[in-house]
Amino acid sequence: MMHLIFLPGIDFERSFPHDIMHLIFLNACPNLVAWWTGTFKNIDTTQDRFRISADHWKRIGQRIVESMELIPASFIRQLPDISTLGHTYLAEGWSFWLLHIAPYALDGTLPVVYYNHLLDLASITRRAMSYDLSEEEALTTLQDKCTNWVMDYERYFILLYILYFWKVPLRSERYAYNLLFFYSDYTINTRRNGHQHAQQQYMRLFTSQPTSGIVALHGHTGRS
Amino acid sequence: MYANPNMANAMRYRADYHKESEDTQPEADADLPPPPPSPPTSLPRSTATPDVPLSSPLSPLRDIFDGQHYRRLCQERVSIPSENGEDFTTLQHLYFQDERDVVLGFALDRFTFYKTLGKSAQKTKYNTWSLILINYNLDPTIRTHRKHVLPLGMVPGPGSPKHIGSFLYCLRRELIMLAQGVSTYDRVNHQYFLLRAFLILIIGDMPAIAHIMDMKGHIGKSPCRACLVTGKRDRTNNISKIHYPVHTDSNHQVRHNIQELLNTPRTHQSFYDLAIQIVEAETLASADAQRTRTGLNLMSVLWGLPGTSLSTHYDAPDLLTRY
Repeated sequence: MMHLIFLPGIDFERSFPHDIMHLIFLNACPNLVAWWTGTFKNIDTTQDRFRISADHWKRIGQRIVESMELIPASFIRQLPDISTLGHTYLAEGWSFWLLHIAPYALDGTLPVVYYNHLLDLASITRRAMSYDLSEEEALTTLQDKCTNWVMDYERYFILLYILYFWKVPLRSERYAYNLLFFYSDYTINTRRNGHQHAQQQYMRLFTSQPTSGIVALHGHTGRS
Repeated sequence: MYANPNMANAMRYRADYHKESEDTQPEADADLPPPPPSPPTSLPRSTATPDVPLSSPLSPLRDIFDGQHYRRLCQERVSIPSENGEDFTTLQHLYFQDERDVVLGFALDRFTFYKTLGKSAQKTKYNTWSLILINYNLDPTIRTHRKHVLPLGMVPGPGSPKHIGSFLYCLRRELIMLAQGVSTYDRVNHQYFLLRAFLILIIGDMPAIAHIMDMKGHIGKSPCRACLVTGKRDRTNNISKIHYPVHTDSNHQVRHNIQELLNTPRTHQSFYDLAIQIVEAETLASADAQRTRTGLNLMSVLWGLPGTSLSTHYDAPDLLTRY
């Protein structure tokens, strides 16, 4: 460190940028898939609503392979079946999968809240990779979107695990309340409003029906 | 580079880029800043310097030359450490003043060079490190082609280098020379000039960057190189990994407000201060505690020193000469 910190031109704050390849394509995308298919770090997710069954996942993989012969080679090389050869995907493959395949292939499969969460990631990535992104936008809008996405990720996927990890007593009376509360909007105001709001949020988010498959017919228009 | 006319023309990309952006925004050309004060006491670039008036926050970010770091450097004078690191000399020229100045990026990664031996792939995976320089004066479409990448060296395995700084010693010395200028013949204009090159960017994945910044890495207690997020050890199983949750702790509070973390980033100066704290620590144990807390390693500074001298005062030149 000390041999670099005095070099002309090196700034420890700005000379070591984080890159989109390692953060999104090789980290967030495989992690999301691992959550859906239940292979994320040996965490038991059989009861979760975002879980996609093995049969269904295999069918999705076959559909992707079948569609590959209709995609021009200038977009992407032939992608293998994600259900069997997902580990061979490179960053290029994950990029195409996130931006062009997943919003269509998973429509009607995931619950609405998880599907919208995926669409959020796709739109963030699309914006970050576009050539007309200005510094103003990157530091305000896009940064806020990323922050919200991370908070949502934790809220939707690992909150149960975190409660366990912080040794919040499970099966206690407070547990149900805690769960509702944590799944709700995470502000102090919500906390004061209390139980009722949290319960409404929970009902809205996690008991809703899956998406209808309309997006696949009419094109990717954002939130459905 | 400049002895070959084709290459010299290809490396005019940076100058042309500036001309192009100045044509679209003529008001961007600001007058030169006043000369800086006498050599600073701690670091040549401190966070005390006011933020650069961003010339065009609304123009699209198309290349590295639109970044804040590059634009800030363009308004500063070059300041180099002396040979034994005793003080800093502020030179008369600005960063990238000449349009032939070279912007360099350093990239490092580990890869499997030798054939993997043995049954356990984990043991022999990623056995070599490669160090390359990327010439950002070239067009983005060709700057990462094999014939334009400057290979610096390879660190043979197996395993990561204990101290990658010792492999970078020659690079550091040559970069300081290049910051002052090396006399070179320009084939296009038929004249000798001082070629200057500055390393402003370092690219790599998380373990590689952790190595080169001498940090603990992505499994540390305070792993992030951009903010001061802290982790919490998971005691519920034997693996006992560290997690970095944002949301809750046992009091059902938000542990980290991401917005606050973004507002208080690590800076150049804060890295330096933390390093000095570790070096000045009274005992080995307190130095270790500092390392865990800050996520910096700095093991190499202390290697080979007698234990008694740990309590003595080290300043920047001492760190450099002992390195």
